[in-house]
Amino acid sequence: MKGEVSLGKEFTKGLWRENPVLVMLLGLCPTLAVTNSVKNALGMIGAVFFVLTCSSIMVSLIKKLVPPQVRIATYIVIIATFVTMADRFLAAYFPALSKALGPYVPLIVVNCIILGRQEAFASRHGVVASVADAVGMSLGFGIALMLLSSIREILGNGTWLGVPIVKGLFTPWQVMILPAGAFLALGVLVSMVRYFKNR
Amino acid sequence: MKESFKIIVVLTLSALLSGAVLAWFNQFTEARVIENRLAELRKSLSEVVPGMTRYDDLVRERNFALYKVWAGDSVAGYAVEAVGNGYQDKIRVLFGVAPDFSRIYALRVLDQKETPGLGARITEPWYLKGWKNRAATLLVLVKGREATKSNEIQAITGATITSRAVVSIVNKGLARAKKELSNILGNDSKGEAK
Repeated sequence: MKGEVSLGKEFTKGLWRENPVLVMLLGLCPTLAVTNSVKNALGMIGAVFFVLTCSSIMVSLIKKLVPPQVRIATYIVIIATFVTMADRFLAAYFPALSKALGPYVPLIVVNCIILGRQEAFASRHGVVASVADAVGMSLGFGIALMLLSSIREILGNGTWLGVPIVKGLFTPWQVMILPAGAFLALGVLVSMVRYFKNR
Repeated sequence: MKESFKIIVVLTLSALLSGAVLAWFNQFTEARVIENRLAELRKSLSEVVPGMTRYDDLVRERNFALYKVWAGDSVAGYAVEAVGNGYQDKIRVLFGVAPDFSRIYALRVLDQKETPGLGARITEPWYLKGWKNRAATLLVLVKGREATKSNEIQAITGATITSRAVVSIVNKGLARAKKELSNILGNDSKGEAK
């Protein structure tokens, strides 16, 4: 135990100071792949929020029972269980979204943000602190994905969440919703975050 | 020894628990997942064959399917699901054919991962309109001009490979469907003769 941890601090660190995507550069595979539209990004954020929070609760509850040699294997089983639940839920109730996200929902199992939080935080702290940490990190992931997907959808398709907002101001810049646009947008975004952090 | 025993117990228990939770959760979602898939197929079928009330599966494979579509008590036509290589990935289409195989009613794209803004325009209404009431013979792609004959399909500018792929998928699907149907009919008449 690291002694008393401030819940507020554990919650807010994920938003900016230790933002998993923009500062720690974790979980970039889903970040790049699903941010071609705001709707896909929202689906991904919801799934990650559910999986990260539930896994953190489980891991912080059973941390004393798990022998250290097999802790990663046990965490993966826990994460995979919640990921499968999220995947089946999307397939049953949001079939179109599930189809658009394709393999990226099952791939949350190997998302390093989630396994990273279990290793670095939930396995060493109590349930309440772990929830604060998980919710903060999910929100940080959400902020990054919303920023990226908004930039890409507006520039690349002229719409936001499917609503046309550009209306002839400029011709949509198709490359932004292609993979190349993901790298361009993420690079610019990360460099801006670095600039403001180091100022 | 004691340590390794603990490891075995913990891993076995967590795997068992995970399996149990997923089996329990699957009960709530499985029916809906199947229902969604059927509803989607039904909707696509009704779009490619006018007046669809019900359908029978004649052939159902991973990369090919043939449905007999009914409008009330009469056969409204057949629907063919065919898959082939596009520019980026497989393209899966569904198209409706008249009962006598004289013409194609309409076409829908079920699955594609073509380039947005170019090949992906095969899902747009103006392109699909070009597939309405085409002759169900060997279809040909025309570039740079409107389709004039009933077996011509206009290509999408800048997406020749995708346009060519869809025409070839439909041609192959048609040929396969004709063969399957004559097999089924052939067997039926043999059965009657006995």
